[in-house]
Amino acid sequence: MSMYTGLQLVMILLLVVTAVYVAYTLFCLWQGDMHFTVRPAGVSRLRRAPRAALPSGAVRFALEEASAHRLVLAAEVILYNDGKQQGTIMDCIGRAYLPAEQYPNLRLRVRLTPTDAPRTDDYWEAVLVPARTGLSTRVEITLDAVRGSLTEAIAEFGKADFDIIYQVVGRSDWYYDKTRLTLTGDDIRSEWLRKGVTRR
Amino acid sequence: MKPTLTLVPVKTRILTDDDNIVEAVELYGGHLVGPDDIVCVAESVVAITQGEFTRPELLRPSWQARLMNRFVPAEGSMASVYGMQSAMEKEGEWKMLFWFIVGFVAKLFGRRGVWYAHCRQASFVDDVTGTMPPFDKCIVYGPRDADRVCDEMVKRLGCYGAVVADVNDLKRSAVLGKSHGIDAAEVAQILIDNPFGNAGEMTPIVIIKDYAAVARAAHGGHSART
Repeated sequence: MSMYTGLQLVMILLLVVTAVYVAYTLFCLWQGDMHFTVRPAGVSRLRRAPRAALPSGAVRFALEEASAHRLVLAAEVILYNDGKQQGTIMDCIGRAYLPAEQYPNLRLRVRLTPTDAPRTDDYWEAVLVPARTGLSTRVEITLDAVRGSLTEAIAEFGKADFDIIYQVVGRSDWYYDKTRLTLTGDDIRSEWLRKGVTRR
Repeated sequence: MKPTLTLVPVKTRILTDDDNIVEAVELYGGHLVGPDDIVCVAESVVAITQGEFTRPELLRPSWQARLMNRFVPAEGSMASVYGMQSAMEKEGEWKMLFWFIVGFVAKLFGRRGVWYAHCRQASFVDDVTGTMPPFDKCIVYGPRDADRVCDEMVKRLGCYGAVVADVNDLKRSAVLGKSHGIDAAEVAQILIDNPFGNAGEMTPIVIIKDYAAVARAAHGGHSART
């Protein structure tokens, strides 16, 4: 076999491998994968799906419990799989950012749980979400007065950010993503007034 | 009085890889087991007590897994790249790829299930969400040496027989391991309504009471062993 014949064979082999790889890549692109976003409940379509953050006020929190030391607010969001493949939400965590330097009298906790199968143990059970469907999720925020009056702390409340962090997997590698939500003092105070909670 | 079959689910605490399945069955169900009974244990629980599970985070998918999982229907555990890789950890990447290609060709000629028949973990693996918390975040393999586990249970408990079964609420029931002489197809049929439950029942053990007595009555006093 001459050197040129050998080179020709190598070239043909490289072409075949490249063609198979390109075909596989195109197939994967056509097939797609899961892709999750967080949406406010009741929003069926978003022209530009928000990912990194939902605009302030996009999620309406309702006051569920109010006492001298504790306030519980809850809202519903949709963990929406807008990809072309079924996906699994392996874990989902609420992460609050309320620095003690700015809010020494308050502690904020976020709990996430599927609306249809609520849990109170902060455990997230891995769940399958078919393509183009969403998982309704309850976001529960608990504000506790660490010291002093909750009323005063709320009166001084500016705003607090918190993240919904989710670990997802589908046809390809698992990854974490997160979407930021914001709770403003005005939201809390207006909800407080709407529910007719009096100062204690 | 003519004996009848009764299915008795046995509740346990969560069983983990620190437990021994035979000891657990004896602890929670030993007092309920008689010489005519068959002890049935859920396959995922046997696998978990054997440490036969992993987490997606511990796996590094190979190119074979990335390639093959794209050609499996979305509903199965093998559609996930980690489900596929977990099966490959047991069976080998090249073996899985070889039988995948052979299975594909066989399917073109109307013969189905060739790949699953030669790569058993491909059908045994339960991907994430397939098992109860806290193992819902794990990939659970099929149990190891299921027949030997069953023989040990019979020896320890003095029962008529034992099986390791894979049953779900979709009326799918299969016996993956059995003690000597047990008719797997018959026991699978008895378990078809999933007496284990797969949700929060916490009953991974089911005792088929008086199986041998019923079989003897049906066979005119002869043993039902196959």
